[in-house]
Amino acid sequence: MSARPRVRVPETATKGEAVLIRALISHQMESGQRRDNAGNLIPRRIINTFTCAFNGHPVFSCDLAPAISANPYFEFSVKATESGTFTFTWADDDGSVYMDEQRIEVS
Amino acid sequence: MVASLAAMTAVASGTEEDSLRAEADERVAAILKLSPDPAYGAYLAGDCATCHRASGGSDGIPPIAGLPADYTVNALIEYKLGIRENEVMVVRVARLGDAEIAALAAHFADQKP
Amino acid sequence: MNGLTRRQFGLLLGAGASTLAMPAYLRAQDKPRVVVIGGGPGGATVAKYVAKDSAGAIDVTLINDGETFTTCFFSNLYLGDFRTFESITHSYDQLASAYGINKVTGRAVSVDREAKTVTLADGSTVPYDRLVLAPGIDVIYDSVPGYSEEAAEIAPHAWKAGAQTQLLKEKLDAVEDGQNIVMVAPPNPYRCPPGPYERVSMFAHVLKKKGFTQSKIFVIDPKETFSKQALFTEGWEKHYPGMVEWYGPDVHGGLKSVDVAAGTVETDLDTFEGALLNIIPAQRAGAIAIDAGVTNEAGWAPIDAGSMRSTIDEAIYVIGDASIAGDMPKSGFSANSQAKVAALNIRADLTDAQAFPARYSNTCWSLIETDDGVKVGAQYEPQDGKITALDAFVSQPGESAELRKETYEESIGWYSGIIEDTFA
Repeated sequence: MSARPRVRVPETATKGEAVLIRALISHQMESGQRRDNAGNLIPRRIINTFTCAFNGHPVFSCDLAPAISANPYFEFSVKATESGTFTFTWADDDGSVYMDEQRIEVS
Repeated sequence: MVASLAAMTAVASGTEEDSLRAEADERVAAILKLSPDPAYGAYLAGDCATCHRASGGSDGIPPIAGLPADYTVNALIEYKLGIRENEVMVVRVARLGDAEIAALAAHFADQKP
Repeated sequence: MNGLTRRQFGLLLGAGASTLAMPAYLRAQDKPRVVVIGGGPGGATVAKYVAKDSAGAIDVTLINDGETFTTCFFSNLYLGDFRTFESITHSYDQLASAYGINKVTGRAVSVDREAKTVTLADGSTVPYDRLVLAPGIDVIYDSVPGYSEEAAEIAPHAWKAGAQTQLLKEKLDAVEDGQNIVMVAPPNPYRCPPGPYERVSMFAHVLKKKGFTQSKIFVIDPKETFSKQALFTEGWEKHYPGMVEWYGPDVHGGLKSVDVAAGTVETDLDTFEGALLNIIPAQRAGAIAIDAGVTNEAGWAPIDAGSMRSTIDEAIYVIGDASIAGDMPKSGFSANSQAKVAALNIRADLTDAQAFPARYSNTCWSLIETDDGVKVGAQYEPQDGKITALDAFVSQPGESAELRKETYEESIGWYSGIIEDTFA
């Protein structure tokens, strides 16, 4: 199953306002600690990093550990300075990279 | 105080089981001496009927209709003292006193499955 | 309550001294009359226990708006192919024949508390000395923007068992691999706290059994936590890894609206799409209780904790989902338990039967996957005017497969038992 991101960025903001950014990704976050019915360890496969950049500059980043449960959700505030695009990037242990982006108009 | 300390230290040696058994037997004997109220027993038994069917049928839950009173009293006391384990039954008996147990046992003994 | 009220005394004398306008034949009536509206685990049980335990001294009428009754409890197991629809549908024949209960198939549309009569949809009236309201719940369609009675034909709630359940089953069976299911769970208080999550488990079971790997089940919940959450979460991860995504309000930010034709559920965070939407709205007591004027502003009926008597009208008892029963959840088991307390108190009102202190109990079983059942339950007694939980139990995460199987089998035994207790 592919991982699907859902992000929420306000469409508009006034300059200097703190805007709330919300990002959810649908991902099982298999910790590597669970065992299947036969008793074998299910291999680890998690999202290991999440970053958010605005107009190319990083504003938030996070390393995720196996303790984080499925469908990790992040919420953080960013000060709106100018109009532009937020890009969101999630990196999966298996090498996949998931991305999403949203524009904001700042006046 | 000394008696309870002895009971605590007896866990390792297994005599706790014996003392629980003795306590159970004592309480059962006391309850069997009571004169139960049949109307009270019928009322209390209503709440048992959902799982322990009045008809005596069973799937996964033992039938109790028609069981002799001393068996029922003993079983309920065993749940109270932790000799028998089943979380539903433990909770069910926790709020039953001697009069209630006597009434219930008499009621089930009278039931014809 | 011992002794006669002025009104009862007046009735016995045949004097129309009060504001009552009683039909002539009633003054000659010997037996006091109990009328029960609602023939589910609450109503059918109270009718049976009053009739059975009064040994014919009380005339009992049971009004239900269907010939048969399909239990909402275990309806999830029908969705999951563990039970047939027929096996969860029951008739009233035995109640009528064995206990002399007058079973009326019809819909009660109003209660005249002054005249003490119930009016049915066909215009007929049924007089009572004591009335028991056991109407269950009604869903509040517009609590979910975009939802309606018409919309429920496309996106069933199936929170009242019967045709809605069969419709949901049809739609569930039509889901294809890669298509999603979106459930909107209800806010508290609602019928059957673990119900939506057992249902999610049954959805997952059906899809998994068909070998689906691409389908998701989203749950948009207005609640931050839910009944047996640790158990369900553990079970979903174990049996249906990656298939179930449950989101509380801190993630989805609030439900905005649903569009059943488009198959979308819009939340503040994002729009969730599914080929099947199962919308379970907020609820309130069944309409007849609202109409009778025995409910509060929130739409539920306050009762006396020791008897289930309405605090608004002493001739009326309200039991089951429609009542405000303190710590007891709205469940079939609770309704059946409350029915016995009500029956006892009604008999004490109308005959020389003795009332005893109220005791209630409940156990809710939920099936997560084949042979993986969990439960939660308690004993209850009135304390400081409220039905209060004393001594409780709940299944634990990490229990052995054997214990979970036993728990499931217990629930099978319970179902047979409660059906026998209620309908036989």
